[in-house]
Amino acid sequence: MSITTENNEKMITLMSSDGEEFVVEEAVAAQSQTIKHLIEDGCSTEGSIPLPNVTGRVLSEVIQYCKKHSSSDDKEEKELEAWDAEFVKAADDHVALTDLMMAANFLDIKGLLDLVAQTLANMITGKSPEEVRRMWNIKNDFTPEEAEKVRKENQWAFE
Amino acid sequence: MIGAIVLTMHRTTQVKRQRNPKPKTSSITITGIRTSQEMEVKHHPPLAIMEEILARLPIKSLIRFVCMSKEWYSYQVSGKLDQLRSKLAPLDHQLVRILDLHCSSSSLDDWEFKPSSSFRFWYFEDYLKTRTPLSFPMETLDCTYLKLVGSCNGLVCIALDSKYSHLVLWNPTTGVYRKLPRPDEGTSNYELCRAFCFGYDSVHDDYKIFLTWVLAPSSHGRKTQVFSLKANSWKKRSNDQTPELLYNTGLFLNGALHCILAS
Repeated sequence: MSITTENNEKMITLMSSDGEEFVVEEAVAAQSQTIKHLIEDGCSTEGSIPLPNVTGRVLSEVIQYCKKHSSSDDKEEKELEAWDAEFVKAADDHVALTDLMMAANFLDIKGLLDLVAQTLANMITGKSPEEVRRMWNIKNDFTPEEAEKVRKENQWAFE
Repeated sequence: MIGAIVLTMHRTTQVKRQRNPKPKTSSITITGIRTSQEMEVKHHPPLAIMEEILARLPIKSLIRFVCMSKEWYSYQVSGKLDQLRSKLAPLDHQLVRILDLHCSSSSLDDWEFKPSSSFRFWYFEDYLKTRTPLSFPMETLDCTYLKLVGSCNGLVCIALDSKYSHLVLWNPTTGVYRKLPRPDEGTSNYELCRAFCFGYDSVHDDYKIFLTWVLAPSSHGRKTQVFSLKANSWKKRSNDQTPELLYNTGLFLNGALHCILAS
């Protein structure tokens, strides 16, 4: 669906994987390279743009980010940084941040991907492999002997 | 560095797929989406997404996570991660250097020295604000001589003798190293290596080492060889293909080999 607001801003509709619809300005949505390409290919004229990999909850966060970053071109960089810090803080835990990062990756929004990936990297810096495995449910498929060998090769990093 | 891993879900391919007019048919699967009842990530995200986190980790954490799983291990060994890290922090990444030698500065001689217990490689991050010691397998390799040929994309090339016949490629983030085949025989009549460089050839997606010797005692005869990591072999180049270079002037920077020519 392509509608136009009073101040001539083109609006487009995004649909999340769970069927929630979001009407946003095209300039806001086009911060996602993926959506931008879809718009260029004429997908926005046929109705809403389906985003099969992003839930409504995550999409609303992504839109919040895009809105802030499309409207604040001339604003102070510091203010935007502070806003970003609050934004990831509000996402609360690594599960929500992982969802957000995957959406940023899928939608190809570089700034958001940088922000969230760095936040997660800071979160796991200094953690043990076991703690990180628990966070993302990663299976340790090394045999004890293999694990010992790899550990020995890199012993100093564990000290 | 050795072997290659094919990652099927890279961002660029996603975008391409999504450019398809029917995005509903996209074959991308994203796992680990949380519902309000679920507080745990059931499946960890694909490595192609996790790499975005890994590439932003300080080196020590990254190395500690080598033993996370076999998938992570082989991914780190492949060198793909180092390429991404270089892209994210190009300045930092070039700075795998040798420091802290308990000897006078003159014997440092362009990073050429006899290794001792005081020898260390350091990895610099955060624009030189932090440094991490790296453990080079010195004893295993029985080092009595060491010279840095160059570093690029997180791989370090080291010569273990002044004739450059024993070369090693080393990936400090995984601890993996590989001895390279000797350059062609017949270099014994030649003087010390005149110019050398280790770099990444983006056209052929290959790592290369470039060496030039000058015939002793006159400097008229010279010999140039190029090593390809993909082919794992050395190739000779004829004299007229290569201009004469000043001593020790090979430097790999921004994807190209830089040299100073002899006039």
